[in-house]
Amino acid sequence: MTSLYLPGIFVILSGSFISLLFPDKMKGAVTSLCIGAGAASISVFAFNVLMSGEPATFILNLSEPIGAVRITVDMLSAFFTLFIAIMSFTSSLYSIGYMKEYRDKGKTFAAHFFFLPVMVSSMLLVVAVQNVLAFLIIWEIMSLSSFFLLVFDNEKEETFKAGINYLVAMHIGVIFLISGFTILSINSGSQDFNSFKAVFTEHNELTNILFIIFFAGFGTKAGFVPFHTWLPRAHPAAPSHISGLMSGVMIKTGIYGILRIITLIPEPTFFMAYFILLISLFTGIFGIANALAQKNLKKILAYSSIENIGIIGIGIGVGLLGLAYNIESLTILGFSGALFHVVNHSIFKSLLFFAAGGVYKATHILNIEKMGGLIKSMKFSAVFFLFGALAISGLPPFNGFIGEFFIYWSMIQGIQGGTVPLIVAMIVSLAGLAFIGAMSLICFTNLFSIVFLGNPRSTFHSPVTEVTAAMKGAMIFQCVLIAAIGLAPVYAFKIILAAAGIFHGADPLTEPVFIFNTLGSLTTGILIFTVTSAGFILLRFLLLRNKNVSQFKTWDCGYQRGNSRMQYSSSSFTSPFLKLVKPLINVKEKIREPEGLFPGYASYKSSTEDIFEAWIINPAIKVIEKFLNLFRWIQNGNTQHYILYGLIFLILTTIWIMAASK
Amino acid sequence: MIPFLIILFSLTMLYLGATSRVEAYIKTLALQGVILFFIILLDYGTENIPNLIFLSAETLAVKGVLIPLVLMNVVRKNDIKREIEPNIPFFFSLIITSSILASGFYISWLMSDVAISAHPFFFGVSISTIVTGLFIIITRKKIITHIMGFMAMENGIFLLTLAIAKEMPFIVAIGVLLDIFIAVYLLGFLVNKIQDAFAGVHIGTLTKLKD
Amino acid sequence: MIGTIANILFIILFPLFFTGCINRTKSFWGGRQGPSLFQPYRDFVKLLKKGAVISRTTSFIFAMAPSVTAASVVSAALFVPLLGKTSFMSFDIDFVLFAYMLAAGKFFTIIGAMDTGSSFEGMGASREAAFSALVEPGFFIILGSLAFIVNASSFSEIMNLSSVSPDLRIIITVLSSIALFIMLLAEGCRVPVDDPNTHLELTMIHEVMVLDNSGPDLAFIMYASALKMVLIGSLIANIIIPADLHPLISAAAFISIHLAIAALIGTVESLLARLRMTHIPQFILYMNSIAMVISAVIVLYVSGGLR
Repeated sequence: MTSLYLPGIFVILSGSFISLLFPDKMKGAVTSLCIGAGAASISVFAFNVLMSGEPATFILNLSEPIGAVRITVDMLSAFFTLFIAIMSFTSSLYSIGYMKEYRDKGKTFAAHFFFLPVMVSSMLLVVAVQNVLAFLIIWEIMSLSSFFLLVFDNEKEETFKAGINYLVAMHIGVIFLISGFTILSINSGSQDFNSFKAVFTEHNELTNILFIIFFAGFGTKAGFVPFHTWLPRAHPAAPSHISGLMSGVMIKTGIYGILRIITLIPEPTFFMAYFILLISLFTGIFGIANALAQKNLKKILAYSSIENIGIIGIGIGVGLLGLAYNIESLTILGFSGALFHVVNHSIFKSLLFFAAGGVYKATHILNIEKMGGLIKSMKFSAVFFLFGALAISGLPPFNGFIGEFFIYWSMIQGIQGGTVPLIVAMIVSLAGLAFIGAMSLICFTNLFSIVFLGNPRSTFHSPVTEVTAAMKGAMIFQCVLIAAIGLAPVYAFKIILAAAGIFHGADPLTEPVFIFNTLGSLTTGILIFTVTSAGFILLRFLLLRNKNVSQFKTWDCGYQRGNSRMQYSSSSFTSPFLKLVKPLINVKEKIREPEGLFPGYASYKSSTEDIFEAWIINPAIKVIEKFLNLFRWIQNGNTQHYILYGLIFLILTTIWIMAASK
Repeated sequence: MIPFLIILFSLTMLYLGATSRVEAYIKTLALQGVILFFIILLDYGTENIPNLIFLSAETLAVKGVLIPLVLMNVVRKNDIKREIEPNIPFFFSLIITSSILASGFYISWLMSDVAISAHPFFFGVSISTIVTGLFIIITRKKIITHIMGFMAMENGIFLLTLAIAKEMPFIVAIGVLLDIFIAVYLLGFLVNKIQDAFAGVHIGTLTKLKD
Repeated sequence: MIGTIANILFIILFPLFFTGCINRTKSFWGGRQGPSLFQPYRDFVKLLKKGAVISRTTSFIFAMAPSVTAASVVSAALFVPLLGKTSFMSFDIDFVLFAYMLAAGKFFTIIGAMDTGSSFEGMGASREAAFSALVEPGFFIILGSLAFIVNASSFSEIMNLSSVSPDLRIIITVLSSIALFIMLLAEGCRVPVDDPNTHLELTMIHEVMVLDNSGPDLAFIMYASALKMVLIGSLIANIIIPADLHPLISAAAFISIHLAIAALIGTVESLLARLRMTHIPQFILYMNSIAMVISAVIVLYVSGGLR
């Protein structure tokens, strides 16, 4: 079975080169084929590793300074590999249909489909290599290839700016990673990850600082606050399948990094656990509060990704608390919840981005205040979006609920088994998670209703059409996964348990029977809900069968001149709630009030900006710019001056070497 | 029973943080007086019966009846109905008041394994009451509500004296004296008819005094 | 077996009777004789027999929504301990499934309302979404604290407060009942949160979301909201009733507490005015503060600081 892994990666990589040979029309299909074949073999391999419980190791001997690169697919890596492979394939399948329209516009796809398999294979490799330099190189390849994929639409200045913002943010994150890894490497003398375990044991005082450094580095990729500012810019700018891939899969590699560091720390400290818990609670609340304030369809989904990363972080924090306080059930439930949510989020977030892409293709706008009534002509997209919206709000019977259920369960276990600080922390997190869940309900009812329901709020340029078969196929597959994990979580849990067991340390994990029992009853409850819903719908159908069902316009209180602009808009829908969370959101309003007895023109414009960008990053950038401006005179464009600089450098170096050798 | 009364007391402080009706403030202050009366009755024990009778009667009479009557009179005469929405909206005001109460409980927890016969729970709630009273004074705009915030603070101080009553009975007497002082002050207020000039006034006009 | 049948009959028959009691109490306070206690049953059957008028703007979402809402409330009733403190199903932290199933019903109610493209229903939907977001944290804090003090986590075990010492039990009972009553007023859309009698803009939350529903849809919605109130009332009743009573006495106490709650709701509706819309968030936040007080008191009690 291990022979399926490396060839699978090779097949995926070959897809980049093979796609160059084919004309634009077939590039999408060819790339998907290669990615699909590779992903299939890799998934089989990863599934086997998880079920059998034995990690698989490959060693590539490369020249110095990289040295011997150990690629180990252990439980954690296998888990990530599995869903990265499957979701990447769905993404490439979707791109076949999505890119058709750009072809009609005359854009070339060569670069795009070259980098797509590169990004997929780099993501697959990055969760498995255990050598520092190799890891950093592949991490960098992943960032660069995703940058090139992001700026596909680079005629638009905003897209390009977003891409540069993304690139800079990624490199700031990499600086933290490099420093962290350097400290570890120097102290352990080797580049292999396993040797770092000894470092953490010997140098206990370094644990907290190193953890913060790694959290800053990986957190930039994952999207934790305050490192999240690239996310709401990058995801709307990218083509929809890349948004889905980045939001669903790539930011999870940041989570993988944090989890990998946790496995290397034999005794997690209380500080680490409370630190992650607090930051994640704030990330969740901040993310969804900002999502409520946005009007751009994809920006809302991007901020919602930040919220879900917060939820994953809450799960990790609770699991870490279990490790620190030595409560086994807390560890297992916390990490299982986090891993469940990792998989669930990748499925439903990519589904939501794909559906949003279908909406964009049909209407060519992303401003939800101008949409409405799309369900009449895009029934399939509406159903897919509804699946995604129900799943992301964490509602039964879909998969989002299962992940949140596990995290709630871990918190209740913590309340029952611990000391007073733990109890207070768990009660606060309980309230926080409930609040986050309720806010995401507001956000996604808002999004679904404004985009699909009611009447169109503006006229669209071209008639609205449903998405193509390839896009439908990808989305149907995701809906099936959502329903399957939601209605039969036991099978998914077996896979997750294998991965979560790695955090338990060296002792073998006793089979948690209590979890399986409760999962069984939970499934029964959810099935009863589904069956009852179907029953009531059937009852309604039977009751109305022989009755008079007539159609009329919506009740409008007798007003005769209503138009579609009088519907509730997104700002109106969210405003009662947004008034309550004002400190987290910076709303700028420009009002031109109606004047006089018979008012003429009046307008209201509101926009929000991210408070971290406005108050921390932008001022910091201004200060840095002012400082660097002092050195502007060095770059004056005169070639002779540059040669002079080179000569001065040579002279100084020679003097230094001569002085040193004395 | 006593912890239950203390909890009711803290809930009234939360209500003060959230409401905007001035008459509700007065009724809440009266309710606080009644709660303090019952607390004294239940907590004092049977050592010094005349002292107990004096304390409880004074609490009920002054806090529960006299001061609310005076304030109600002033409010009705000047037709003051509602507090203006303060700088911090009432919603956040309630959140801040709840956090003050939570910190009060935290202080109680810190004191919980102290072995002396003081009451840690009283201590925490009374400190939170005093801080909430100050908060009301800081954030509200009408002077009459400042007076009521001060009364709430004074109730909190009284509760604090009850917390350590067993250790230092003398201090309860000082608390009662404070009470009587406030009552005389307010009575003077009413009798000398200053209230017409002051009661409905917005705090902003007082800044004209700054010279 | 008898218990299960009794519970099924309770779920099917009692909610509409509860509504009738509330209406009768309001009539009493208004000096009228009022409709019969069984009038809601007659209304329900009448609605079931009618046809429907569907708005042209709507889609299949509008058709599905009331059925899914009713199904969600009925499924949520599986976990709540009813007559005799028995529930149909119970497992660890089933209250999470309870809360989220009600939320799923609310999701469909909201999108069903927005489907009509009417600004009235949009108004109701946005307010309902905002206020229910404030209720959730308090609910979870209360149940989490109860789970801590009882050292169990399913509904039927949490409601069994017999292992808690008496003075703490009184405090918890009173505070939880007040908090859950505020939750009932908010979720059941009663005064002071919403006025179920009027459809004016000032009071539009729940009633206005069902403006365009008719016939069997409206019947389902009536039943679902009544059942939701009864379920939250059952939580209150279960906290009050001690666990070691004879089943018949316990069932009788259960029903009488429900009737008392109905009378209390009717009284509150007759005596209080509806709160200004901007003051409703404070009212609901008050419930969260009470929940915080409950959890703080329990933690203090356990560390011995409650003297």
